[in-house]
Amino acid sequence: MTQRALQLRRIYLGAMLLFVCGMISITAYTLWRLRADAINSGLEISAMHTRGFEDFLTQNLHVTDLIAANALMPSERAPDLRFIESSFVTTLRHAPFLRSMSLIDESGRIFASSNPANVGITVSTQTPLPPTTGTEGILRTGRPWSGRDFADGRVSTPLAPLEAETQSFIPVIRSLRQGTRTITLLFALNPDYFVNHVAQKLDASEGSVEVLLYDGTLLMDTDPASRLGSVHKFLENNLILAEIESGKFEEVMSDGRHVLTSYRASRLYPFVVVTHIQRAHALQQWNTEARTLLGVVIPALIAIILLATAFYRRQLQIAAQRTEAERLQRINATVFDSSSDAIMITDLHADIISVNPAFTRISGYSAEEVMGRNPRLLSSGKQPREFYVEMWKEILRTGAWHGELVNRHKNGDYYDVHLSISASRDKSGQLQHYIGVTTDITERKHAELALRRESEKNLALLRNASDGIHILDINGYVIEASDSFCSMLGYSRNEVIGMHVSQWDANFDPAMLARKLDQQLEAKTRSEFETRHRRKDGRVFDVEVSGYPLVLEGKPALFNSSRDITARKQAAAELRIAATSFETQEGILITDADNRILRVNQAFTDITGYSAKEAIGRNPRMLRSGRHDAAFYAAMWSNIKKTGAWKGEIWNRRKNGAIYPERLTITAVLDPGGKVTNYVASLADITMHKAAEDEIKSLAFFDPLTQLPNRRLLLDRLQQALASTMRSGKQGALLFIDLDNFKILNDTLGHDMGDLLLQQVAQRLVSCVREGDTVARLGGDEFVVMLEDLSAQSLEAAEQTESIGNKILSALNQPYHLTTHEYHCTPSIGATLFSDRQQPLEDLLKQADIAMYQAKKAGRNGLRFFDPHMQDAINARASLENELRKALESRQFSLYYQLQIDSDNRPLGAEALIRWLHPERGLIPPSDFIPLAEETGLILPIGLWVLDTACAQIKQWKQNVRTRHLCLAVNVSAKQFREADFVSQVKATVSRHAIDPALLKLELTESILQEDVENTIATMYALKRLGILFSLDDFGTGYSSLQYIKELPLNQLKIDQSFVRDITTDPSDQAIVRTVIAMAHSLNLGVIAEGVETEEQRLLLLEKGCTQFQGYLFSRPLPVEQFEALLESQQA
Amino acid sequence: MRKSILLAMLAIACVLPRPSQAQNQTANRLDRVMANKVVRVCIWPDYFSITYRNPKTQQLSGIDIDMANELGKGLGVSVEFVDSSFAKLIDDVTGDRCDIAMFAIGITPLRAKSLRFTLPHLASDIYAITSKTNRRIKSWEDIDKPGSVVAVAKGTLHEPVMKDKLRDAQLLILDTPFAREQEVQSGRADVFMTDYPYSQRFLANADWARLVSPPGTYHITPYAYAMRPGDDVWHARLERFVADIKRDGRLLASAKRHKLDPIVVP
Repeated sequence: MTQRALQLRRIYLGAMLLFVCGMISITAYTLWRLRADAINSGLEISAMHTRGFEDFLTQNLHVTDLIAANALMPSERAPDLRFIESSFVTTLRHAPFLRSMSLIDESGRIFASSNPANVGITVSTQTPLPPTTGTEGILRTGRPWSGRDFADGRVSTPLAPLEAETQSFIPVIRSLRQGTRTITLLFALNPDYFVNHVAQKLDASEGSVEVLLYDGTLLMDTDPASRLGSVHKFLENNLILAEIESGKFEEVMSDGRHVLTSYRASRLYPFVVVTHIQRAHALQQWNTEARTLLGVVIPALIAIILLATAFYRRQLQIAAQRTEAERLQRINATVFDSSSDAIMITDLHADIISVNPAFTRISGYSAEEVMGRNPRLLSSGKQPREFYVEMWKEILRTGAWHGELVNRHKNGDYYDVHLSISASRDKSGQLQHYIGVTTDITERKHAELALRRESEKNLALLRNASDGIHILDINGYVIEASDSFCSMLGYSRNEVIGMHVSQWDANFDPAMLARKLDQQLEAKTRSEFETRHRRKDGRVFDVEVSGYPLVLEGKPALFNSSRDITARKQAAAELRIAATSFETQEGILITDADNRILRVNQAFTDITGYSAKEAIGRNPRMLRSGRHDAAFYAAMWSNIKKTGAWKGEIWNRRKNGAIYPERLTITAVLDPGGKVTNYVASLADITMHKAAEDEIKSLAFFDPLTQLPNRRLLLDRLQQALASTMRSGKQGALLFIDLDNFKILNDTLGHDMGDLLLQQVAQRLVSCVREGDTVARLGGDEFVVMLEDLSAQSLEAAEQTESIGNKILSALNQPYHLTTHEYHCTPSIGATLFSDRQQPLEDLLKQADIAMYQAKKAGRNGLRFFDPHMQDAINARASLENELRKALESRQFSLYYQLQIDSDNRPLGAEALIRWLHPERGLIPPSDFIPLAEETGLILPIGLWVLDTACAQIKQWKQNVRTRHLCLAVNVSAKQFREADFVSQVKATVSRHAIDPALLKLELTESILQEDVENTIATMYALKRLGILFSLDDFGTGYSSLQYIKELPLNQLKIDQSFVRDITTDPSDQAIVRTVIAMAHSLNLGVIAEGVETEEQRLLLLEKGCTQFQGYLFSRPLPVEQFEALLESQQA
Repeated sequence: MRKSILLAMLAIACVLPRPSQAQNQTANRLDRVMANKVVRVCIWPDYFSITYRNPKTQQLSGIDIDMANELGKGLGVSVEFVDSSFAKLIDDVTGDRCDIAMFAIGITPLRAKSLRFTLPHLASDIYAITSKTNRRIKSWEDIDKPGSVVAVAKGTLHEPVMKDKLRDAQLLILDTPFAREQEVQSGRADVFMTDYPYSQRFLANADWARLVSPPGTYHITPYAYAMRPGDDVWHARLERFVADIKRDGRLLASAKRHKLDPIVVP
């Protein structure tokens, strides 16, 4: 309870107490006064009655006295008692207060009476009052008698008063002096007369009247229950009758009644009249009045108390409201003062009347400066006039506005704010103030911008990934998707976002999909499964989906990557077909070029009786039946050599010696160089499988994708064409066609798109040439068109070739419709003429190839003829190649070592970098000779040398405690890596030098990962088992599939120096680097940055979480001596 | 007018034979009344509501005063009231001190021997009056007890009735005016007996008195007018008068005025 409420309560209770006490006092006083008045008035009435009764009684006695005085007395002259008695009767007729009159003699005997029965009765005359004093003529009163008259009466004594309700009378004596005689008159006084009189004035219920003699003897009483003749002592005790003859007082009777008593002594006779008025009766009026008064006062009091209580409660409520209002006001004031938002309050005219401290902080203006001014002074001028007009329109319409705008600080700086304005109205709806709350959002804006940029970068990264990357929310809806995913499904990005996984998955029902999703989300690691996707155009294709659960914005999500595995599936299918066809009814045997059996099928075993184990490694000659002569076999082999195949029927011998006819087909399998690698023989008992033969043939000569002749057939045809030109003298031409940027298409849209494109290109090429010309596909996006029967004149032939070339250019430039995509593709064409000159076939193709490269160099989408000058370059390259070979032999190569360190500048190891110190040309940078080495295959021996040298170095470092922990990174080229015996080479080298394989780190480029993935993975795992470490070089420059990176047993990612170079200035490089680092951390890989040249770069990288560095900042690549010296100097 | 002339002539005619009146005195009282132009009516001036003379004004009032005046009016003669009492009734009527006694005379066998009554016009039972302070007499049964004193007026119908009925109480027969009341008020007697008309009027004036009623019917007496027997004409004339006042409502109207309508005999 608040102070105010307590005070109110004190006042209320005090006032109420005062009021109630006052009211009660007044009422009580009034009642008491009224009661006293009633008592007084009762006493007065009592006294009045007493006076009246006394008067009445005294008069009657006085009359009695007079009657006595005038009574006819017997005299000696007329002693006729009969006459006297008669006069008594007559007298009594008018005196009803007398019952009888008698005369008594001195002895007290009645000798004459109005009642004859009384005569002769003796009555004592001594006791009556007042006592005889000798003076006659006094009326004296005696004790009451019971009965009607003396005749039947009996006198009472104080000890034997009269019984109640008995008839009584009072003897009264008057003596008369008659001469010498004293005659005494005796009256029987009738008390009934008096009682009747009283009864008429005073009802018995109101009170009673007593008449007492001075000695206290009760003479009369209106109360019938009283006993006359009894003595009332109180008269003697209480009244001093001699002095005070009357009085009044209140008393309690012996029976407990409260009475108002008054008494009065007779003025002539010795008796007292006492009147008792019932106090209850006297108070009757007062009772009524009191009841009436209380009946008015009490309800009035209650009503007033209730009203006052109601008023008090109302006051309490008002006080509570006021306290609450003050509290709210204090809160509001506190909010106003302590708010971090600037608050300004304006009047109706938008003039500022109050601002809070935050306003000063944000705007720079103090309260005094802005008081009375328009908030316009904050305006930056960056918003157009219309902005404010719209704003005010909105405020006037809805009473509020909020939005963002730029304000100007007092010091001139601009800052972004979020402003909300609301109009404040009073209770009647009258506009009072405008209240503006301004939040400084400059920092937020900056943060938003930074965030947006970064997420854009991430998005770019994501969208450009080659696999179909899509991020699903927990319910399977797409949150984000890469462009590759969109094109994979044939939807636009906008369509894909928000799609449900069930909309493209063609393999699982929704319940199964939901289960898959849950499994993936719960997996916590990479999950992988195969399924089928449905494109927008309805085409269904096989995919491998791999996913990682992530948490995005606090919610679980799934990072999924779909890879089109149609080709893989096809290959697998083909393998299966091949395997199936291998395992047919037809016996098949495969030999190497030296006719050693490599493989046979079950049918072969069934037919010949030789198990695979028995057959493998032997010459098929074992099957000879001896029925055919050597010429037959010679012809057969000659045919095989000539045509690559032979077929016919032949007699052979089973293991059990049985000779059987079989239909035999022998096909030579050529490598790309046209060299026989295998022979495939299919044999059947009599019957042969034409289809299998055709299939095999087809596989040998035609490209299965485009159905165009393959390289082998092309070479065959070229051979024939050359022979033909020799004969005819006419010229021919080779057009080498390569599609520009086909690899990008393949990577972004997927191999199936690439395949589609190739098929369409093939069709267009075929349509561009004449019948008899050959269109072949060499592989990938390389096509060769061979034109024959051109003009014998070189110029003309060139013109004809150019014409067809242009036609091809134009045809291939037309847009391609790849399912839903419209794709534009350009070719680069290299052309070369051939005639009778004896030229190796491969050279011709090379010339065309060189010309094609020229066309590409010239900006692509063009046609170039082979230029002899180009040959020079080729020749130069050939000489370089020669020198390169020599260099290897003459040990012109050496390894330089570039330091790799950790964040505390501790050396971790080094990267071994090859240097060629040419005896004439000096130091040739690796970029000048490594590509050539790659092309020529010299990279293999060079790579081996590097590996060997590096291992030797590791071995040497092992001797030194400072260097024994150093890890040496060695670059491995793709070609080297793909060598079949690469693993064994490494193994051999490592074991030869007996080094710890964990100190050898092979640096692979991304390009390795992009081709022949399965082999790559297998090779890497094989090496990993040896204990070799891997670092992924130049990471970020290629389009590595994240999916594969996860699968690879990598130890380290190397951030390419191209990102490091501009990291301090280019935010996108920063973003990429951060992403790479984050990814490396998430894959639990180490990460090293190369090309670190400044401290700034180092710090920035360090800040992003990269803790290993390499670069000029620490050390150039150094010869081993210098490198070791450097280490020593550092550690020293 | 003609009637008054006729009456005047008749009156003259009646006056004329006056000398012979004495001879026919007993023969026809009606003629004599007509001749004397006055009818003498005996009354008891103490008889409240019937024939009461107010001592302060000496004015007569009561139902039978009204009826006597009506009779006079009916006969066309003046009315002369002659004070009587029940004690003197028979003497006064038979002694020719009045032509008729009109003060609600109870028809008793004793009176019927000497008097001739008209048909009764009132009928009353007997009531007792006592003092308010009298503690012994509380009900009718308390009256006839040893020691009790019962007062009656001499000659009233109550005298023979009470003489006959009382067994233990002492009967006090009084013949002075208001003696009964004086005796009871002074305590010398306990009760006095009276009838309905007297008791009603008495109680209205005496505040010390108290009425004691019989629990049931005690002794109802018919009241009528009395005359000397032997004059049929007079009797017939009076019977006609009684029938007239009953019929035309004069009796009831007067009874109502004197609060006696409960005892009117129809």
